This record gives sequence, C-alpha cells and structure tokens, in this order.
Amino acid sequence: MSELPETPSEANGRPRRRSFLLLLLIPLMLGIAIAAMIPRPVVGLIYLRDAIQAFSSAEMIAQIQYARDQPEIRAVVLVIDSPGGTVIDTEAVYLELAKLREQKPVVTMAQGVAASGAYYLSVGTDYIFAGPSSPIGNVGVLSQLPPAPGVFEDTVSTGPYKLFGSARDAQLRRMEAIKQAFYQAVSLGRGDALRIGPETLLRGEIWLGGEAMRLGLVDELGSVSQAIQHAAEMAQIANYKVENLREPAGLSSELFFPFFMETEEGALTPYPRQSGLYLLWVPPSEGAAP
Amino acid sequence: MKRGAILILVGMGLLLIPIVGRALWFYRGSYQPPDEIALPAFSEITIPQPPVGEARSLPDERPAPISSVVLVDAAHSNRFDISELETLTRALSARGAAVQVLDSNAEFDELGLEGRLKFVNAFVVVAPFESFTASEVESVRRFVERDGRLLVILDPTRSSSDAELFGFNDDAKGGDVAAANQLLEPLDLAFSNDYLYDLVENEGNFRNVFFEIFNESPLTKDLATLTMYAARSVYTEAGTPLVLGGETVFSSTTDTGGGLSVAALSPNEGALALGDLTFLQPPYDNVTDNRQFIDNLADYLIAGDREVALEDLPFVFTGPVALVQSGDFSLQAETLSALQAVKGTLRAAGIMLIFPEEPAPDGDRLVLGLFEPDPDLEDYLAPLEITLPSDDPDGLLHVPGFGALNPAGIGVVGVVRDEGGTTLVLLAEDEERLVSLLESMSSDLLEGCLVQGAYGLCKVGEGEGFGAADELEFDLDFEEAFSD
Repeated sequence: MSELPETPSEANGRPRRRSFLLLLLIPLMLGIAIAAMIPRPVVGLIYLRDAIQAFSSAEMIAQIQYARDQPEIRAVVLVIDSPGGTVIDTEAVYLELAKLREQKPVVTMAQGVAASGAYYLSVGTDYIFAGPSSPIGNVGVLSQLPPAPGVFEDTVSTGPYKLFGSARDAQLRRMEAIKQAFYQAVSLGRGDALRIGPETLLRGEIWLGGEAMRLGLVDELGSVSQAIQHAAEMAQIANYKVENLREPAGLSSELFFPFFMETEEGALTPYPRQSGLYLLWVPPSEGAAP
Repeated sequence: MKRGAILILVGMGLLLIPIVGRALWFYRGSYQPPDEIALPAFSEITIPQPPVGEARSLPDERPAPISSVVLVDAAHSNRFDISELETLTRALSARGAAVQVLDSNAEFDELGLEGRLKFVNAFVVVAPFESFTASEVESVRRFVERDGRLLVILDPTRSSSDAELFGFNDDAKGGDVAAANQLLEPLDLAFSNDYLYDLVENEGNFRNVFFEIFNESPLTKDLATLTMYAARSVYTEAGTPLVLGGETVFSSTTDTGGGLSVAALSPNEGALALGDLTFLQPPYDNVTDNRQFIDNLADYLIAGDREVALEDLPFVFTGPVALVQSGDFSLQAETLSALQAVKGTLRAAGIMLIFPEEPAPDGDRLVLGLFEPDPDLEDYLAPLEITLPSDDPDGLLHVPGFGALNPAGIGVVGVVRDEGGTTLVLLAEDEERLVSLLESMSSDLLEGCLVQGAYGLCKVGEGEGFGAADELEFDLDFEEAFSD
C-alpha cells in the first residue's frame, strides 16, 4: 500500500489533538501534585515506660503537644508500662491528654503495668486495651506523713508549718481529696462501662488485664497493633503510617532520671527517692514481709 | 461553546481524581470528638473536717491526792512513749490516781511485774513487743481476778515499721498481738492481727473509722460516736464487745465486716482490750466523743474495788507510813532494831516510815499493839473485827477467817483500807513476840506466815496455839491458804 498524501484537514488536526491531550494532562498533573500535598495520616505512639515524674511527664507533654499541632497525626496510642508516679506530674499529663482528645482520638495500650497514676492517665483516653496479664488499677494515693511540727536550734521559720508544709492530719485529708479526684477521673473516663463501685475500686487493688476487663476498668484485651488499628478506626483513617513521636517531637534518646531508691548494692527498689504525694504502685519486693 | 464546557469539566475531573483518590485512600471520614471532655471537679472537692466533740468535764469533786495507783508497762519492748498517754494520765491525775511506770531498766523495778502489781489499782500495757513470762501472765491473771484492772492497748501502726514497707524484714510484725494475747487469752480476750477500715464512711481516711454501736457499760456512758485511727479488732467469747463497727467496717484480714469490735471487756469486766492508741493523742482525742471515752477509761481504771491483802506487802501502802504505838509498853532496843529493818524494807519499795509525835487522823499507818485491853487499839481493831483474848470469855483470840485461836505464841497481822488510808496492825502477846513479828515482816514480808486475804498468823514464839494446828478452828484449809 502506497502512502497517501495528508489532506490539509489532517495536517491541521494533529497539533489540535496534541493540544487537547495537553489540556487533559495539565489538570491531571496538577491534581496529582495537589494530591501529593495531602499528607499520609499518622498514628502517633507515645511511650510511658517509667515512673511518672518531672522528666518523664515533660517528655510526654512535649509529644502530646506535638501530636496536637501536627495535622497529619490523626490519632495517638499511649503505650504504658508504668507503676504511676507523682500526683502533680500525673495530673499535668492527664490535662494535656484531655486537650488532645478534643481534636484527636487517644487510645491506651496497657502493655505492661498501668497502675495508679498510669491508670489515671489511661482513663483520660478514649479507649483502653490491656494485655491479658497486665497489672491494672491500684486506684489511690500514697504519701509519707510530715514530721510533727517542732522548733529547731539552727533552722528557724516564720510559721509552724513553714518547714514541712502541713500538719500530719492535713496531709492525710489532702490525700483524701486527691483520691476523690482520682475516683472522679475513673468514673468520668469509664462511665457506664465501670462495673464496680467506689468501695471496691478505692481499695487500691491491682487486677490482671482479664479481670480488669470483666470489671470494666479496660475496654478490651489486645496488643499494640490492635490499639493502633482501633485508634485509626476511631480517626477514620486507612493506609496510615505509625510513628513513634519521641524523635519528631524533638526529644533525644531516652534518658534515665533516678526516681526510685537504690539499695547499697545499686539495685533499684520500687520506692521513690523523695517523700511526697504519689499515685504510685509499690509492688512487693524481695525481703518484704508478706 | 458546548465543546469548551465539556473540556473544562473533563479538566476539572482530571484535576480532582488524584486529589479525591488520595484523600479517600487515606481518610474515610472525619473524627468526631466527644461533645465534652469531662474532667474531675478539682476545685470543688473538699474533705470534711473532723467532727469535734464537746470538751470533757472533770470529776465534780477532786478526790484526795494519790488515792490509787496505775502502773504503765514499759518493760516489754513497748513501742510507745509515755507522753502519748498524756490525755489518759491527765484524766487519771484529775481523779486522784498516781501513774507509775514499770521499767525493766530501773533499779526500782527489781521487784518485777509480780512485785509491782501487789498494790496498784490498774495495769496498763501498750504495744508490747516482748513476751511475758508464764509467771507474769499468771500474776496478771490473779491481779485481774482480785479486782485489779488491766487495760491492754495495741495499735496496728506500731506493729509494722517503714523498714518493712521498704523491703526489709521486720521481725516485730505481729509481735504485739502475740505478746498481748499471752496476757489476754486467760481472760477470754484476744486481738486479731489486722486493722479495721471503712471505705464508705470514714474520718478523712479509710483507716479512720467511726464507731456508733455500743454495748451498755460504764465505759460506753454518754458515747454517741467514737473515732479510731487505725485500730485492731478484738474478740471475746463470753466477755462483752463494747465498741462495734457497722456493716461497712471491714477487717483487713478478711475484707469482710459487721460486728467487729475495737474494744472488749473480759467476762469479769476486769480486763479491757482496746485496739487503738492514736485516738488518745491530740488532735484526735477531741474528735467525736473520744474525750468522753478517755474519761470513761480513767474512771474504769480506778474503779476496781481492789481488796487489800497482806500478800501485797509492802505495796498495801501508797504514801508515807506513820508508826503508831498502841498499848502500854515502852520500845526496847530490840524493837527499835526491828523497826529499823522494817523501815529499810519499806524504803526499798519507795515508802517512808515516819515516827510522828501524835498519830494523824488520816494517812497510812503501821500500828503495833499487844493482846491487852486498850481503848486506842480498839479503834484500829474494830474495822478488822479482831477480838482480843482479853475481850473473849474463854480467853481466845478471834481472827476473821481463822476462827478462835489460843493466843500463845501467835502474832497476828491485819490490814484494812478506808478513805483515810491503809492501816496495818501487828499484834502479839508481848513485846518480845512483837519484835519477832516485825522481823518476820522485814525479812520476808510475812512469807513464813499463814496469810489469808487481809489477815496473817505468824508463829512468834513457843506456845500451844500455833504449834498445835489441829486444835485451831480454821475456816480455811491450810494447803489452800498457802497455795495463794
């Protein structure tokens, strides 16, 4: 077959088609470019693997604030293995979590211990997973009473409680107020799911995960990946990525800050170094009487 | 125009496809946060302050100073300081009671518990962590049997130290319960190794428990509510549980409650077991009716109608003892020597023997007399109901509990106590035998004599009376008398 010469109309049509294809490609490319700007959603992980104290709470708060400020972080999973800690630091983190929950779902995974202050934080999230044998609960307050007021030869003060802050009895009552707040936090956080009353809850018992679920202290038994999946479902996201928020939040590698007392041999004990008000579980230790 | 519109629509579609596609790939909806993130009402949480009781009232009439003695145990590794009992000791002082401390380290306490119990009205034991010996347990049992009062106070906060909490063994744990129960079990009382708590209604802390159920007793007079600050429960089978917790007061050992008692009386009401020490101390003494209870405790401790008995020598006396010489005889050198020995015996027990020119109407007295008619002696013998041979048609001596006796070779000792004080009367046939009687008192506190309650018979010389026991008309079997 011999080639036929192009007709004028054919010769004019080719650039038109090119122009037409170009016209189609431009919006497509633009759309792809814009679509690329839509961030892949992130489920942020915040780990608490220490007692809740000044340093660990500051790090948690930094990560919570980062999660709140970053739009691509659509949900947060709090992975907990902690016996609790100081009242002040626990409450500080609890209030930051409440602020975060106004924007994004927060799910707790009690991977290890979620006792006392750590459980306080858990009830300040939207959903709680626990390992089947994770120690959960220990709702209550712990404190050492201040010494009885006295006067000393070389240390003088301007009031009877200037030195130690309060009378022994007042400290006891203050603990009771903190306990009431803790109980309110549990009641508000667990709502109708909670199947035990204050007379049981406030005994300060530790329950294993399965028991805790039966009593309504946690929602489900599961793992970190289930907690991540649940957080993603709550946030209505898919194909997300999971990110430990520690480094993005500008925190260096995990540092060790001494919180617990050490024995003379250098072994850590479950007792805090300083006296104060604690939402802390003190597990039985070797040598302690049953 | 139409073609252009189509082109625009297609272009728009092409623009949106990747955007919508990616968006849908990642986002399936938007998160709906809860309407309200409810937080605890931190600023509204208040803890009620302790209900303050009415100020206590002192007894209407202040009794004479030192009308009774309360002995506080500090010889069994007791974990308390005497100052912690101040509200109780103050209430006792206001009632004329002296508080003495039994200290194993003090030279004064060489007599030991048995010796010191000889004449105290009450014995108070707080948080003992050292066992009582079998003889001590028996002494206390007999003390209570003879209307002495026993108060045993434990407090669970004294039982376990912070050392134990911090992981170090504490051998003393529960040691107070074991030691206290040694004393109490023969009296049908026992402490539990627990603490009581109330999670529903309490005084600022779960271990600060209200008690509103009381069984009738002078100890629970005018009580509506008591507050105990960490208390052990007390059990009695036949005694009286005095202060009981409600249904929500639980024992730490069982986590169940109902009918748990924090104070209980022994069946003869001579012993009281009390599970808390803290309520005695300010500011807790002023909460609810705790003050009234402390007053009731003080009344209870001094209310024992303790019979005076010769076996309690020399503690039948509580103050200086005035020597009263009755009858018409002049003190010989031997008598003075024997009195010197008696003085030494009394001084060893902290009691002074004094020699007044005129006998005082009140106070403790040591009366020396002979079996001869004497109007002065009659005043002292009347409450003892001893009949001298000179007043008996058959010339026999009549001593309550011993019947009629041939007076030859017999020395008689009698003790009586009234509001004025204690009077110890020593009688014999003549001064020589009286000296022998005094020597018996000073050397072994009448151990060699036949003693029954407030009366004693001593062999003080040759004669038919005491030497021929089968001729005597004793009301009491000899063996029984000596076994006391």
